[in-house]
Amino acid sequence: MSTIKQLLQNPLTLLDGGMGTMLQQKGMPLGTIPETLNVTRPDWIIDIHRQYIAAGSQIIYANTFGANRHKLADSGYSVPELIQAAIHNAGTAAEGTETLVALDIGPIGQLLEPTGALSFEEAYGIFMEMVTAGRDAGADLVIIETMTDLYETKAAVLAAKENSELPIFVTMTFEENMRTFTGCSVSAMCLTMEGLGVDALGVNCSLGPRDLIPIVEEIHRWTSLPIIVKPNAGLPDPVTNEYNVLPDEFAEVTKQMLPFGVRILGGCCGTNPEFIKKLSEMIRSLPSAAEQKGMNIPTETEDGSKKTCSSAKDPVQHELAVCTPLRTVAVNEPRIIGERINPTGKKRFRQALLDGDMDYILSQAVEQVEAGADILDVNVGAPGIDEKEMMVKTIKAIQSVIDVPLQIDSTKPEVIEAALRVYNGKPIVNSVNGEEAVMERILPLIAKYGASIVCLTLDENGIPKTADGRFEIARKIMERALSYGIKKENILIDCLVLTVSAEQGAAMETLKALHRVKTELGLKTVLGVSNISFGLPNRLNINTSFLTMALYAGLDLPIMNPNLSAMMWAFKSYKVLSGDDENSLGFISYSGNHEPDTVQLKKTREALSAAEISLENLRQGYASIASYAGAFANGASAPSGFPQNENVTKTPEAAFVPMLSLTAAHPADCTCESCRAIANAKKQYMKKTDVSASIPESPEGKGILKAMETGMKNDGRRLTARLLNQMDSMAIINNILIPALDAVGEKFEKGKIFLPQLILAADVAKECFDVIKEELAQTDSSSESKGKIILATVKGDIHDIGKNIVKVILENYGYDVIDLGKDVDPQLVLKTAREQDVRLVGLSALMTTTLGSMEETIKLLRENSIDCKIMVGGAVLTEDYALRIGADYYAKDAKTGADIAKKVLHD
Amino acid sequence: MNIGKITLTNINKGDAIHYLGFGNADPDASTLALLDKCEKELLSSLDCKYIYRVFPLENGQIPGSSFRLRGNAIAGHLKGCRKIILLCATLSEGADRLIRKKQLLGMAEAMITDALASAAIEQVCDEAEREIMKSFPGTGHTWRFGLGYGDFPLDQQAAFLSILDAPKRIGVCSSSSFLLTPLKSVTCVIGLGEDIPTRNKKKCANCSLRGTCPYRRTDLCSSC
Repeated sequence: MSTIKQLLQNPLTLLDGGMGTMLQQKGMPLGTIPETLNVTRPDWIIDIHRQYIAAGSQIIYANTFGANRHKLADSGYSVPELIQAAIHNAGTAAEGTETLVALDIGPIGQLLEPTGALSFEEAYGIFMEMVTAGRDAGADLVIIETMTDLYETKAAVLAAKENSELPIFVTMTFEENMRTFTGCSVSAMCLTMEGLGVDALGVNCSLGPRDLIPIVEEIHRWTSLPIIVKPNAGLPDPVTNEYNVLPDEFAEVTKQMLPFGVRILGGCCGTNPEFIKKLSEMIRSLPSAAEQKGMNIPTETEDGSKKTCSSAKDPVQHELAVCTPLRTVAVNEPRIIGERINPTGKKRFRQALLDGDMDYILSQAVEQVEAGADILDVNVGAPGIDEKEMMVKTIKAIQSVIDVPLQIDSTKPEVIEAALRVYNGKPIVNSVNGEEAVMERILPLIAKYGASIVCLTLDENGIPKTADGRFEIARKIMERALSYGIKKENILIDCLVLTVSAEQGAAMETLKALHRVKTELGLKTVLGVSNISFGLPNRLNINTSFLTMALYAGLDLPIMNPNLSAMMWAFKSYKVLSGDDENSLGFISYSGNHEPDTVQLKKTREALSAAEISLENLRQGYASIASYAGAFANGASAPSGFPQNENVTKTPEAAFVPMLSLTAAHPADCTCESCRAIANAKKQYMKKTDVSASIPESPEGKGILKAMETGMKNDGRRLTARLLNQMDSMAIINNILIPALDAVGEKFEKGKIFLPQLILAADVAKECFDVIKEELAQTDSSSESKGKIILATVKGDIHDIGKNIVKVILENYGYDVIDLGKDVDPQLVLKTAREQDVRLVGLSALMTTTLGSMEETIKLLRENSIDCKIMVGGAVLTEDYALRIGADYYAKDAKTGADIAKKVLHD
Repeated sequence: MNIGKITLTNINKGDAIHYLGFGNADPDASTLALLDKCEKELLSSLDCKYIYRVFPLENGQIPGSSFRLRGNAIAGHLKGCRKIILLCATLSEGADRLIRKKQLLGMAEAMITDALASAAIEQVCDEAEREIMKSFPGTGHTWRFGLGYGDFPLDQQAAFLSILDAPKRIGVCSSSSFLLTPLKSVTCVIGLGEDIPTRNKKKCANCSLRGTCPYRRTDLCSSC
């Protein structure tokens, strides 16, 4: 028997044709699980394999396509049992021939997260069971086929790689729009699968050979691997269910694909041994090895004229590209990496990490993409955070709503590996450096998962001062990376930006090094641009100039804040001047959607001068505040007569501005005397400020109610910010936001407004809360919780929008909602309720079939004597039923949910 | 086996407004504005597909199939029918993705998009039914009876999808608790018979949810 390696030495390799078609002809009853026939009718299976081998198949697919735990659940057979029988049948048929036997792996038949309920890890386990069985039974290779979900395909490939030494072929199923059902593009398949180290890839099923030509052409653009094609015999006839392409035509059209790197051929649905025989004859008819390899085979064009078909579009191999299933970003011109998902120096972000507030993190992602980021850097390392767990959670969450590729930012190998596993697509990793130990730990991971890697030009001796020193480190890392089998285009160099205020020559050294790396090593470059101006005033001006200089020196991937319009304008302008932005189309379209920077600048100047005037006013009161702060620091009470200045009493927050500016350079958690004094003074002042009940009557209070009623989020934010200057945050929540929500809720109950309006009001309230949270994070304080509530959509149910609506409302009322998500195991509800001492649990279920899970969850909580009340809701529930399954309350809508919370947690 | 694609150019906002709980009331201006905005976005993220197969019906069952038509409701529904159509339709994953993203940007828009998507899948089914019936001129048919409706059990969801090869052909799968993914998908059957009167719509009077449905009063129910 030959091996795959030997087989692939041949210019072309022949697979088999359809199995299902043949089984139907043999009389397989409708609804039979085809894999069970491996045991019940081995004679059929062996006969079909033999027919294909006789027709010329060099690799046959064992009858294991759907032999997974999920599909076999009610079959009465185990996975190893059927796979063993299938491989045995194929082996029997292949006996005495050179034919190889493939373990055939098809989709699980259940959709993975985020749309489905199956997790990536569960999918991996299902495939692992198949691979292990196939390996033990003696399969020669693993073929993963008919895949439509890139994530599921990745789980299958990893399972095959990590549990066997077998070669791996992958084919996915594309529609005419060049995407799979789940939206995966051809380029995403190629980049991801080639990165994972499969041996061949391509397309099977869905269309006939003619319709697959453009898809094969596109695959050829994106991969240098041998390409597999296994088309259907055209389309099925609606009446007879027979396919419309005949064997001769099938072989002839398939021949037209050879110029695009197709090396491995076969047939899918509707094909039979006759098709394979014709393919075999076609292959034998090719006159020379050169033609078999697809060099210059003349093909017929539509009008019948002959042309030499070398790939019409230039292959894009050897160019850096990263992807998600839906979006591929080729770095053939400068691209922006958004830097905002990073807790460094951002208290609000750190707080969100500590609170597990994924919505905040996701909103940062959405904002950057809308501002123009092509790729997002993701860094979630902070004290008190399990970085690995948080990284996995964050990547999954971001990828469920955002389709731009990500840059995994961590220095810890275990975090990087966990992230690389669950990332859907091909990411960038940030970073490795020239230290031996670091290279040894990180580079093998990059090689295994096929990512791109940012290499920092520093090593055991620190950052070299000179451009030459950094260039040498870049070269060293490059050579080491290449030795691990990492492709050159996936090596990105960061020549490191130092602050120009500390060392003025450093900026030019960085750019010199960058230019050499780009031109002499031919590598792509990355820079975190904004560090350059640290310690200087007007940082944005320095940053925009430096960005332009760096781009001109050859920077491909600036890591920057895309929300700063000046940076975006500098970037867009550069692309016009460099010629990357052809005919300035990008710039023109950007201009149509964004305010010119001059307008922004004018606004900023106006704001600044207004601020200066008020600063001048405040200057008089400054001395007294300073002494007040000083006195407080010493434990004394406020000096008599304080505050003396009118402006100070009105806007105490603003009064601290001059002092804050003195300590602006201090770190956020500084504990020096001045900082402590300021913090103390602020706290005391806030406490002393009497917040009377008349506040809801204030213009801001009325304004917020109006904003809620009309859905004006910006007004809500603005007014809340203003209120924060007048009263403390708890007072705003209790005296303004909640009464406003109550007022809206009452209108809802009376039928004066309807659900969308109630929810819109909740959305506005959420924005107000965001402003308050921002303030709390800045001042290192937290709001007083009104109690914890668990919310969960029960096990088996994946419709969670109703639960999410309830969550928004409850959060608005100041409750800490522990959102366990959808498809939640009853045990997790129990564990969380017990550990966090939760007094109210809310459960939702949409379908009658999942009400059982709800009942089970309630039962579990009761059996374990958890001292909590349970409220339930969902489309098919009634009050009567809710009480019957042991719930304390039935929440018919979100408003009722809030009323129940008030009752349970306040009484 | 037959696959079709449907392109919607608008969404039945009346149905969406109904799902949002407005009853007879007119939606306010801000809801209407959001409905327009969300309709546009949803339309551009749809990829509506359906697949169906026609089988003979003998003694209320499909002969030679492991898929059983169980329950009193479906038996009554198919009374007098000679053939049965198994139909599965979906808006595809783009709609789910949009609704997920919307939840981040504002729950009101998410909820409105969700309601619009529910309306859209009904339109897709209506359109699919119209298309399919062109192949059966002069034949009466029942209204679409969904899996999980009445006592027609959901637990054969996977078998139903497998007969249509729906996972492979239009990307619709079921979870282990028999829920369909993408979420805005439908599985249903239509009975065919020369002698039966065509029944296009189900009415409150013959609806098994009439005891509990919040829209059951005639003035609230869009089907009546």
